[in-house]
Amino acid sequence: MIAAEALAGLAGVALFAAPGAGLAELLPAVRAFGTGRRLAYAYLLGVAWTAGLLYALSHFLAVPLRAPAILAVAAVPAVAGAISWLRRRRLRPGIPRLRLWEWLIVAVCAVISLAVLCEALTNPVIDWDGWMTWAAQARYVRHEGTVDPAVLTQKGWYVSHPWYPLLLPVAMVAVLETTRAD
Amino acid sequence: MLPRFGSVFQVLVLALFATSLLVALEQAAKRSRVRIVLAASHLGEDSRQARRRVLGARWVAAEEEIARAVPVDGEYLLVDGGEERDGATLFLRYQLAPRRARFAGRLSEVADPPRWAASLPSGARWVVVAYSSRPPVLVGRADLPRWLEGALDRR
Repeated sequence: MIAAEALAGLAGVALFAAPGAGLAELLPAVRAFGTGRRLAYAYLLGVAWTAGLLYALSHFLAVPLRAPAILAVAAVPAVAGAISWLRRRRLRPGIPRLRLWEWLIVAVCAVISLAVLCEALTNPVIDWDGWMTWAAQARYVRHEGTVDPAVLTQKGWYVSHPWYPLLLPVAMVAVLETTRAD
Repeated sequence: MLPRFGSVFQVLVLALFATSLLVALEQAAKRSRVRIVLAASHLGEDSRQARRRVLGARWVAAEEEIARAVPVDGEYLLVDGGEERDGATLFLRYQLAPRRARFAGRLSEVADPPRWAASLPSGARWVVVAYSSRPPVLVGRADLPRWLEGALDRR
């Protein structure tokens, strides 16, 4: 991998982590969790928010799936969460001291996560399901800038599972468009 | 009785979970090491070089030639030169997307090339034949019957 491509990939992670962190800050139930769980929820919330809202905007309002819309969708909860965090002025709880076995678990998780990241940065998409379904659909969606591309709405095109939920393809489009990656 | 049974059960579940984690740990460590070492050994490689390494230089060259010939918003007919279970058409369709594909059939079904070629949907100028074990082939629509006869002779 070259540094620019790796950094672009990490920017893609931030595209979901930032709005997710905002949502985690705004939701009291998630805010009450410890740092690790809150981060995990934040990432998932960020993916669901960004892809879900972009899908709705594209399908119902014909908003093009391009960088301005994607960045605006991601910025709304990120900014709202930042404002909430600044206004609450809460007493920051001290970071709890981890015990040795907890550090061991953190280390194992970190190594496995690093390995998955390395795999993503080293090899092209070679998974069967990705070729067949979501990665292919992401390319059609990205090219036309809509969640209703011709191959999914017209008959006769060779496409697998045209009824497959488009949330993952839209999330992929969001990252690819904002990082201008292939 | 029940609370005690419950706590024994909880300990048993925890022990089984811990055992399964310990068993999986060695495999996870091996795989993680392989992935990290592989990434380190390919530092500086761009995405095109990675594709050539994983998919093969000849395959990537053939796919790029097809991608240059068929416009990005164009369409093509896709023929399966192998077995359905190999999924060669699925893979090639992904690589050529967003170019739109119409599935034309399998080479193994072709008995009468001129008639088969004439029965294909109109519109697309290009026919792409996908194989599982060799690079894809681009054939002009007008050349398809002759190309099919040659392919059948080689079969």
